[in-house]
Amino acid sequence: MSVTKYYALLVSDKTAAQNLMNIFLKEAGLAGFSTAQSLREAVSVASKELPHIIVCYDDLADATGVQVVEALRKIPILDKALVFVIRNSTQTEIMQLMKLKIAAIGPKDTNPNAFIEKVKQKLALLHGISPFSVRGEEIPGNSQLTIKVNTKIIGRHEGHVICRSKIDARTGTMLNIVPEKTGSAPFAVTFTGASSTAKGDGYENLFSMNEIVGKGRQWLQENLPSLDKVGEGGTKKKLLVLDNKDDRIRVLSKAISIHNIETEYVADFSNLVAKYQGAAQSFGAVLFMDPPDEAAAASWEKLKQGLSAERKPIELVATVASKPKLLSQIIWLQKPFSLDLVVQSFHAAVASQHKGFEAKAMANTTFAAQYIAQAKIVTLDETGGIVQAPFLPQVGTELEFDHPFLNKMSPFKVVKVVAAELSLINPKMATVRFQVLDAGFTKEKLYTLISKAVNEAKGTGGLSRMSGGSAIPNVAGGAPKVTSFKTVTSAQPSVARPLWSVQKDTPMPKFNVGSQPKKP
Amino acid sequence: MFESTLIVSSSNCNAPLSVDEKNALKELGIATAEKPEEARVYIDKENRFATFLVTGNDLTPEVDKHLRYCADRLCTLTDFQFIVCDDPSIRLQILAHELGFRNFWPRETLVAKIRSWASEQLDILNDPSHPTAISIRLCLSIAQRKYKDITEMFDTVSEEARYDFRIANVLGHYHTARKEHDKAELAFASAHEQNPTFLPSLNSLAVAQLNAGKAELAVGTFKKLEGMNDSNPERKNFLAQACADLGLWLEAKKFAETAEKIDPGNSKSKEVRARCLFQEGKTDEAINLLNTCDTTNEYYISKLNDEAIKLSRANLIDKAIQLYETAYRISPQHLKYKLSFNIALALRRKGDPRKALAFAERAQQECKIPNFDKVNLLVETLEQEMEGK
Repeated sequence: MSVTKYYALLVSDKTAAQNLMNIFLKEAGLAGFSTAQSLREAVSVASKELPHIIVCYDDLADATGVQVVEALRKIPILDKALVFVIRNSTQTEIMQLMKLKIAAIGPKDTNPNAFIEKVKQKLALLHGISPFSVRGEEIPGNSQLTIKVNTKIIGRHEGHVICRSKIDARTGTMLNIVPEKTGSAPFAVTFTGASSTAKGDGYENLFSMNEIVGKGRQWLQENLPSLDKVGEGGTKKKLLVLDNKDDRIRVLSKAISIHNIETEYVADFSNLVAKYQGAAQSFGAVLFMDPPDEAAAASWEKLKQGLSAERKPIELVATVASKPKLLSQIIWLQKPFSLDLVVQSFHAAVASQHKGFEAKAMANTTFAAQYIAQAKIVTLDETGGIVQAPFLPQVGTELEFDHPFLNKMSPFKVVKVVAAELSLINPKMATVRFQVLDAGFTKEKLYTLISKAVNEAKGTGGLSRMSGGSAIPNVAGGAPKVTSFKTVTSAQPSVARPLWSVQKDTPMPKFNVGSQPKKP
Repeated sequence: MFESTLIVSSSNCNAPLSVDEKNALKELGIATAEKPEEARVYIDKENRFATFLVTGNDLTPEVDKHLRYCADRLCTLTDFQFIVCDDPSIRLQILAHELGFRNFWPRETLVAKIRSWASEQLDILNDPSHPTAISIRLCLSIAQRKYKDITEMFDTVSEEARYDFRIANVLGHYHTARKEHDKAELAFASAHEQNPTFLPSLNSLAVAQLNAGKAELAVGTFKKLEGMNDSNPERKNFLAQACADLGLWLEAKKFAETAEKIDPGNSKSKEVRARCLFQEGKTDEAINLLNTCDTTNEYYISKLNDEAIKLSRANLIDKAIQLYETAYRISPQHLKYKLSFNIALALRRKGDPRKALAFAERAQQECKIPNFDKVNLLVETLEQEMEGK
């Protein structure tokens, strides 16, 4: 899985080829492709759209495949695009193409499976980043940047400060929060450890007051309204635990009692159902000490389905999965976990069940705030770039960047998240792909801006070959010289030797659509 | 950050580090220790304050000892202490919780994760005003007994301690080291109030209460912790000590005996039991028991001294001298002169000025306080008495 989507340009004037490519490129993991049916169109589309891979299928009516590649390679910005050529070429043509840095060449009868495999291999070598990118390490200064994300503090409940935002702050990483309090200068509070629950179209981030560090702590304690007067100081919520290891659960119950957590425990699902049904309101959460077995949990699932939203339990579920699916009613405890996490998660579960008691009254008091987090630039590219951030944002979240180099480039001041996923190595970190918001910046314009600025900062005077004149070579004056087709027969295999192997016994159709009628 | 990190393997570890992993870590400047004993050298001498214990799922005595050592030495840097195992037993989880170890990591992809974690921490450490960076500096100053460093920035530390439980906790240890037990109690109470789930502050609060002579409060706090985990011999000994201070001898004996069952041969348990025996008038038994103890602390020496004074006043001078001598054997060096001085006084009372003079002169030599008049006066008096004879 990668946050980067790859796009292709198919240069072919054969409808059948386009239809087949639609299937094959999708199969190879491409997110989409454009088509160009003439040399001029190919050059024009490629230089504007910066496709990550370009597939030149056979010769065009107005140019041979070799000429197409030559024309594309004359555009410096396209230097890094992966070009695949599918045509029957002579040995000389193959040599010519090789000189033009071709990713792979194959004959028209190339096996589609082999083609798909080759594209996948080449894409894998990009390691999830765009070929039109500048790496974080190359960026002047350093790759560290500050990200600001808007949030709203909505109140406190059960020892937690509750904020609403578009980021999943459950990662436990430190965040600074700067409330824009009227009549008072903003201040920073450092939060460590947070828990989020999906609410509506965003998240409620719950920060334990225990972990709040900084002068703002006092302000939060004194100024934040309570979200649920009834809940606070009301009936104490209990933790219902499903565990069939009797000795373990007894020790656990005793251990967490010091944190005012009262537990009840059951050994199997039938008892769990009976216990919960009888007193749903008295339980703040249900803890599964081991990942529940799906079959055994059927009765429990059935019970949950029949419950009203208010009576539905929040589950704390032990899991061995590194990236469990984010669900609103489940807080995952990734093994191995500490007792601190059990305690924090239970308190967060209870806190998340606030009733928004003073929400209306609060409408008059705004507590707009910003999370400020340190992140790392992985790449900047033709649509935006990739950062590693200590939170998982929703698609569409706006991020404000603060970086000495990026501050000089207007498109990078505020960007929009287009994809994000948690890192496998460090689940506290997410890989976030963003795109610039300024619609005036085409891919070509943006990449030129970045690479030029980086090179200028390095003192090389920018990408000089990109800066002067049109990047599009002169193809005016109609169709270029059409090279006559050479018939490649099976008797000449060594001439058109494909650079990817053809797999046999494949169910896929042969990839030869040369006999299709040409466009008028 | 890499140079601050240490990876330790316990002997019950299921998946020890491979040669490749060790080499990769070495390249980063991260030290690896094969055994917890080896780790102590790194922690003490090389400022390796971030530790990863690669261990099995069970709590073995070796793991128990190592975790306590780290908690004691790296008091508040528990955010930098990691336990690496796949599915920790509940006992291991509880001890970790009690000692403030909040990070459990799986063994899988450990080296890559450490690399990524360490480079993240670099940013924090490069910002000297970051609360974590302040905590580390303070904590290392405590561990290396460089109290002057803290004294110099005391105002900042006191201010930060109001909003950061870790700094409040370090401040408590600073006051403890300076024997300012009332101030230590306040600092630990503040740390606990700020973050009640961080249990090391609560434990330190109880110890500070005991040291400040508030045994009743200490018993309450220790019992709160005891309710969570009743298999901690150290806490039982503290409870026994606090109960003895309150004159709750039966309870004290019970706690000391239970602690000794969990940790046989523990000197602290023997000390409290000996105090109980003195209370019962079984002086010989008490002295015999004390003779099996190792070096003890200042607090206990003062208790033994009180017992010996009682015996001396009751005219059981030989017993008193015997107890003084036992106390002398197990006393920390800096207190030995007081016991020698008291032995000299007792011998003088007994009417043996010659022997008394020998002990008084020993006290004179052991005393590091210049012009300690009491000792000098006693030597002078004894010399005159000898001449008079």
